[in-house]
Amino acid sequence: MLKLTLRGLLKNKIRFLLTSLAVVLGVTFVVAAFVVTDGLRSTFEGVSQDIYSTQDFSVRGTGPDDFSRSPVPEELVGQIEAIPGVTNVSGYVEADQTYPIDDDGETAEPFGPPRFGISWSGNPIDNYLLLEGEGPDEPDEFALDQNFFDDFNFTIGNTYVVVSEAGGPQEFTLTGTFRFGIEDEVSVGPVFAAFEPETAQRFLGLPDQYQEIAIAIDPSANADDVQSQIRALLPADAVVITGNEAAEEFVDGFTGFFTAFRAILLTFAFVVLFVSAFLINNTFTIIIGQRVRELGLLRAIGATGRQVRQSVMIEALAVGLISTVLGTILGLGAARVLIAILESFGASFPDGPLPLEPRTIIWALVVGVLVTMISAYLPARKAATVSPMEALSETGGLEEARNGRRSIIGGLVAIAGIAGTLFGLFGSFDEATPRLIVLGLGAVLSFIAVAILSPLLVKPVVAVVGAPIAAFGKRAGKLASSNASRSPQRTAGTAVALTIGLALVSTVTIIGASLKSTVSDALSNTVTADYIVTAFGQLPEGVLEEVSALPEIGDITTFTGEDALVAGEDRYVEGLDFSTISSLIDADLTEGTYDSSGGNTVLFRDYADELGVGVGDTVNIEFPNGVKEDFTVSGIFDDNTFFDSISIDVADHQRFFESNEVGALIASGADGVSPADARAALDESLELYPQLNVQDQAEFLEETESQIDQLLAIINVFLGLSVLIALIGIVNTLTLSVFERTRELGLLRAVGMTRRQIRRMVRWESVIVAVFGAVLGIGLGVLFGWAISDAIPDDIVAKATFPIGQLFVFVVAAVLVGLIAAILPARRAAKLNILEAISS
Amino acid sequence: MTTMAARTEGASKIYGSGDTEVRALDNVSIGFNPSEFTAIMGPSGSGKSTLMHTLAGLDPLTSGSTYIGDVELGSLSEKELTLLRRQKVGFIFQAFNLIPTLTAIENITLPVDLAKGQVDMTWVDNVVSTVGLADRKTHRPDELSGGQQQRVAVARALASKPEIIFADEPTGNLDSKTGGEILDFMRSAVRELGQTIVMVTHDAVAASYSDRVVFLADGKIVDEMANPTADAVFDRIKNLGD
Repeated sequence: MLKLTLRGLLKNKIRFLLTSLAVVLGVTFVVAAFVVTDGLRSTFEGVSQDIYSTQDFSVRGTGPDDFSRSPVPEELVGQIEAIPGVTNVSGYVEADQTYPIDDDGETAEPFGPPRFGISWSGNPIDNYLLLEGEGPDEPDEFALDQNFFDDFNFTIGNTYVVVSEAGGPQEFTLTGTFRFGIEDEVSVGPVFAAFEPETAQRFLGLPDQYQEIAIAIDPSANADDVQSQIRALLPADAVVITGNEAAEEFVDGFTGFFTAFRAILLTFAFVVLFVSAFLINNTFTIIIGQRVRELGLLRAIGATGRQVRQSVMIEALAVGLISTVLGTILGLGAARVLIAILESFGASFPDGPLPLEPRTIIWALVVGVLVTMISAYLPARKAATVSPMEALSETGGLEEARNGRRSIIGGLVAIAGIAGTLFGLFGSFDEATPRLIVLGLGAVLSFIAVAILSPLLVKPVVAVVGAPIAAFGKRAGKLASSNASRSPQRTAGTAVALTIGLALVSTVTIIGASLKSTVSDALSNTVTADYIVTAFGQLPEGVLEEVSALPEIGDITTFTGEDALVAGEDRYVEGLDFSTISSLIDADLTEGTYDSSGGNTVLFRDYADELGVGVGDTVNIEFPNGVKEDFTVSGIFDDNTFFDSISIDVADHQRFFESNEVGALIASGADGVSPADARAALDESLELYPQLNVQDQAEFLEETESQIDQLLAIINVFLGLSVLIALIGIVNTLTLSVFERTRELGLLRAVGMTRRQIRRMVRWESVIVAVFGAVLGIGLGVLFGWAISDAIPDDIVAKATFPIGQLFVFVVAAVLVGLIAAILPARRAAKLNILEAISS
Repeated sequence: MTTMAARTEGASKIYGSGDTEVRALDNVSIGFNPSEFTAIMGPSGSGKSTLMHTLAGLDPLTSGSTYIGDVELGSLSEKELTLLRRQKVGFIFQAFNLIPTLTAIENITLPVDLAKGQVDMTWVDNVVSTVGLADRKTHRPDELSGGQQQRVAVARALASKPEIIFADEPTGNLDSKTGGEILDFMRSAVRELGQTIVMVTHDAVAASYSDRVVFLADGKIVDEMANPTADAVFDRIKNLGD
């Protein structure tokens, strides 16, 4: 039996190839996902080992993560130096969003890799490698890392403006270039500007303080002893760890990112595999239908049903194994492509090796073999039920599942799927992960239900879709239309990949469109301010003053906010300028006023209801410095698109939070100043802050929309892979159908169908199948998109928007997919030798 | 002399080469008169099917020429051959004659539809009622009996009023009574409608319905018989094998 199976496989290479193609793609994606993230991780590990290789100990403040540790006082350096056995000590500071502006007025993008300002002590323990020029040792000097220097237009010896969040724009002379003491070819992405330590402390906003202190000790000293002596010197919010621990911590700081990134890639891989599973299932079903006579003969000469089933499963195993091998090899290549795609969207990756871990291979096997075998199981069971009589019957062919049973099973799965989806969307969850799992399960079940139920829709939908084709395509069109509906299960099975792909793509598109229209509605209805000034992070010091000083600018308010305990619960408390806000943003203040006299707060209606307070009542806020203060509710607003639930006046905010940080500011032109003049004045005053985004309403909207579009584009590129699989699926089915209808095609040719008409017929059938899949998929996408838009809070997505034009483009794309898929099968069909065909 | 409906001149067809060379047709010259019902007989491998296929333009000759009416097939492109087939040639095969997704009437008008021609419905209705399918027009092939399916095939061959109809064992899959009905109908198509039919068969009874029987053996015409009877044909084939 095994020999027979394998011979059969070898004989039908095309069948084999077509079946494995889908599995190969799925495995490729899984392997690429693992390899890319493993590669990233191992590069980071290598880099961090190198960076910390000169340190035996590292002293740093405590904090939730790398970027929010409390600094340590600089006196510690001297105290640690005094410990016997300590040979070298150096303090270090760094701050993100620090960047020099080159000769062309350009600098690193805020959305790219981090842009660090760092200290340069000249102490070898820093592990910087000077490449050109000299290190910075005067207060007005800086050095650049080689990558930054290479990517932009700088000349050593020239003076440049460098901007930091704390220090604003300031002039420094470029003294040289450097690299961390790490392998040359590796770049982790971040770009660095280095300053002499005291300058770094001041310019980066940490006077008299360090973020880390690097310590080297005499190899003969007792390390544990030294560590405990250091520990004894430290304040409560600082720790001393070994260099190795510091290196691990550095990598761990990125673990969340790796995990999230891998989860995203694996989600796409899952979609690809899920779609592939339907394709494999469909292919096996068709093949078994075609082999029914052969299987009947096997049964007639004594093969048991079990043997027949096993033979199909062995075929699946062989397909799975070979696909896994191919997929793994391709995956290594695809990893590079994946990186290239992501980089084309602005992401930055270190160049390093892409390791193939045993874990990756195991997953590839699990995915490739298991998915194939599961997909083939139902067809294999069906094959086992072939009776010996089928060998003798004239017509042959497997009976398709009866509609009644199909409706019941499909209906039950659909109910489970819809219930899961709705619960996932609207149910209450404490965390995002279980919600996503329930939602994903619901979606998977819904798609399976679609796969089970969609054969029932083939006849009616094809009747509608096929009508214009039959009218337009004459006899070839009519034949195509009836071919598409002659085996509903096959047509539906072929289309389901496209259905799932387009359902996901249109869901994402609808959510994106809804997001955009919400932003645009909010802007036109709510924002009366003319200009919006934002930065990546906080606005640098001095911006507010610059803008306030402009006579061309009228009302201004800043947006700022920090967490505090409001009525005992953690809340983000926003600071707004209550004296100007009403002329800049219309948040539907339906009760009371913005009272800027101090000690007042305005609340979002839902939140006021939640707290059970109204205008005139008080709300207690406990600030991080421990101060508790009662604020009087002076107003209640209804539109929370731009405001958080609770705001206080900016003056109170600064006083209680003890901070002048500003997140963003919005402003209007002064009365009687033309928009062009106001804008010009604003641009001029902020010339030294190229990282600032100065936008009018239209620009703000445009940028928001283009950001959403970019995100959508990335998602859709990956979801588009499922459309590629759908295309393969259609090629597959058509090829098998053409093979199955050889005689019929020969007859058509004999009675006068031209090759061209044959090609047209196959093409139209393909288009009908594709459009069937598209119509179903877009229909589902509209439902999902609507449900999800409804589930997202109103301040993010107010109402679902359906981009009809784009959805129509998807239908057109489906037609194209159909046409492309038909090229080879149509050619094959047209090339049939008539004589051989009619005598087959 | 009137133009022949179809003819061959020195037709030879050789498959393979060297040791495996098979001479399926060996310098065959034969003509088929309009409104004549010809049966071609011969044992397996005698070349009777090859003769029919080359006559119909389905299979090119190795040497010699074939004509449908005045048109020499060897000079035609693949597309021209297809167009010629749908305009001037009708086919009836032994089985699987019909497109399963089309109704009886759609199958009948298929060649005309393919040519985007105007279907002569009076003629088609006439043909359909003559073959006794008037109440089966909208049935699909799987709803028809074997005999009914063959009648649809005959009706299709007639519907486009071809110059010549080629029938390849048209009754081979039918019981003798149903087969007889089909043959009766084919003969009346020749007598009453002036149709030309060339039929390949190995069945002496079927051949007896024809006006003339041509006997083939080893790719050559070995005999002819006019106004055959079943017994005479049967005797003749018995001797052919020797």
